[in-house]
Amino acid sequence: MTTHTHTDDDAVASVSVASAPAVVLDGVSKVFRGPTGAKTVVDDLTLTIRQGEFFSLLGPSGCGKTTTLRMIAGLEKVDGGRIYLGGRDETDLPAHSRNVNTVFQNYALFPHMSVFDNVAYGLRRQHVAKAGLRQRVMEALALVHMETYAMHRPTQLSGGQQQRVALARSIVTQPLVLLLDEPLAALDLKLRESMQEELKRLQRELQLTFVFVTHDQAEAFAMSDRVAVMEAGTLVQVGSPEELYLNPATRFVTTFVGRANFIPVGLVEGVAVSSPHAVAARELEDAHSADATLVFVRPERLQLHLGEIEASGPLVRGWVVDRTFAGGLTTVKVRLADDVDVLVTSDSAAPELGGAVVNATVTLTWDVSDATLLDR
Amino acid sequence: MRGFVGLTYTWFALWFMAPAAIMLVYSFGRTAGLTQRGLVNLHHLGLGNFLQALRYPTGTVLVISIENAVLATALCGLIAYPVAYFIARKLGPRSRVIVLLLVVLPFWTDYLLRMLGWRIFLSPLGLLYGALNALGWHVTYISILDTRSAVMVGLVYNYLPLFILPLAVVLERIDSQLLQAADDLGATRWTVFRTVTFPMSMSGVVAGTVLVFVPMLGDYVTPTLMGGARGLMIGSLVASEFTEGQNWSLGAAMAILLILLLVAIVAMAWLFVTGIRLVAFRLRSRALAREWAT
Repeated sequence: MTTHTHTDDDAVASVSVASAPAVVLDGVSKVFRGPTGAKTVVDDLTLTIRQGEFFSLLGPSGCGKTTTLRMIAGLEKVDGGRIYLGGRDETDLPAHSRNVNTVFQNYALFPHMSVFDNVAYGLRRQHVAKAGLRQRVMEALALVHMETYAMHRPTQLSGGQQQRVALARSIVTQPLVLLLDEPLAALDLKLRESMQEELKRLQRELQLTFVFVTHDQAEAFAMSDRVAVMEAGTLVQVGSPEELYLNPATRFVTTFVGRANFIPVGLVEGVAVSSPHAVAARELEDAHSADATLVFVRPERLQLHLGEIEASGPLVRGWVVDRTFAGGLTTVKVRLADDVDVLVTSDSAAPELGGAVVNATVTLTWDVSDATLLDR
Repeated sequence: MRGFVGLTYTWFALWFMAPAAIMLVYSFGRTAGLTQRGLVNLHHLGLGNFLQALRYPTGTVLVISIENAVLATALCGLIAYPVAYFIARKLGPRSRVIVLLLVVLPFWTDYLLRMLGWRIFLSPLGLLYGALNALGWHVTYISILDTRSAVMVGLVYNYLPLFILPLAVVLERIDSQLLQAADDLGATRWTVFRTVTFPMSMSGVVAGTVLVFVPMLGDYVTPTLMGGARGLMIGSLVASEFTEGQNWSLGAAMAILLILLLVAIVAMAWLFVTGIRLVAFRLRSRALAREWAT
């Protein structure tokens, strides 16, 4: 099925279980076969998640992130590749034999059981003795501040409370990995922010490995140690939020992560040229196609100058079409030739902003080290 | 919408409440003499009919009827559960419709024809004994036709779809994500069934039990057709008072007693189920509270 070679199998197996990565996906693939044909939802995905890490799978809906999570849980069979959990090959183990728990998107609490019995469910499957069971269930509920609701039914709880119970139910057995499938998507903004902090606190206190699936970049960045960006079933880039923001690997990552400017340039004799204004670019060997390239710069990395100025570094000229005041920062929209719009974010107190009124001519400059050349 | 609800109530009152009320009134009356007008003489109301209804053979027949209905309901449940489970959880949406159609298909044939079909099948010259003989089991001389066993076959056969349908609906509605959650938390397939699927299907089991047990206890056609003289059930007794006996007030009193008995049985079953839940819940909360306080 997969063309991936298993050269590092021995290395994975020889590592002691204690220090082994929590999750290793080795060339994992998943194909959904429907009446209209087969569709590859996860394609040759290789990924290592360290123990005690808050790891996020980030991508638009349909990118295969939830399927990936379900394959780690064992709820979905893989069509190729291997899955190692804590150093052991558990590709063919069913979900109930894996030491991995899931927090489902709509919580999936058992409606016919009390909150206590919901949380006790996993422990009862492990035949934990009664006294210890009560202790552990109540501790888990206390951890999510739901201990007074032990005898309530899930249907009597609000969405946020159900979310907490679902969390308690998944962490009480102290699984090797906790999988969270967009657990905050159904909550309103305020509750979501407090739950983000709560999740981070829980993860720190319990030192559990969290694998968090989300389509919300801000959420992934606020919580994660590392983020994997997925697109159409493949892994695009893995790294810390800082790495992804500052050094995005592809245009997809740049658009998915924060706000981005793309300034079209052409290459003339090894120099990137923006029509009609020339820009000097670095690392021209990065540019694969010689005549069609984009320069990527973050809005806050651009400097705004009034009028047509000359600079030693790269520059483009245009005119202001809009400005948005957002407290400490002001974003100015500048239109270049060829109708390309570029956003510039500056400190609202910056003196040059005073003259940057609509239709004013401006020059934008940036440091070559802040820009990346991308294929168009 | 409100007009529609009003219509429903009117319909219900007209065709259910009114006849029941008439029966209630009749039960206190006296059967009209041959020379009197009308069916029931309502000039001298009294409880005489009820006292007579409680006399032999009502009690004996009632016990047999309850035994029959309980056993046939249990058999229905045992057969209906795997069938409903298969329909609701193992079939795709299209084949589900087809199989559900097959379940109710017998209802499209006349009831009498189906019962006569069973009689032919169970008769000493019928298919059942032919098959048993062919297998080397010579039992021709014992016929189960016109016995309680035949009544049981008829009852289970007739009421089975009424158990399957509500159960299949309830089983189909169970969110499969709950089953996945149980699997995820370490439950094997059997444990998932025991701790999630089955408890969550209890409302379907209760609905099926009530739907089957209540009409079964009052059924008089099936026992008559399948059981003959030995298959007597309480419904047959009530019916015979209205027909052969021409004693409508006594029949009405027996019918009223039967209704009261059914209400009592259903109420008791309900109280029993909710009572157990409530007591268990109280005990557990108290134990938890005590433990958490220390």
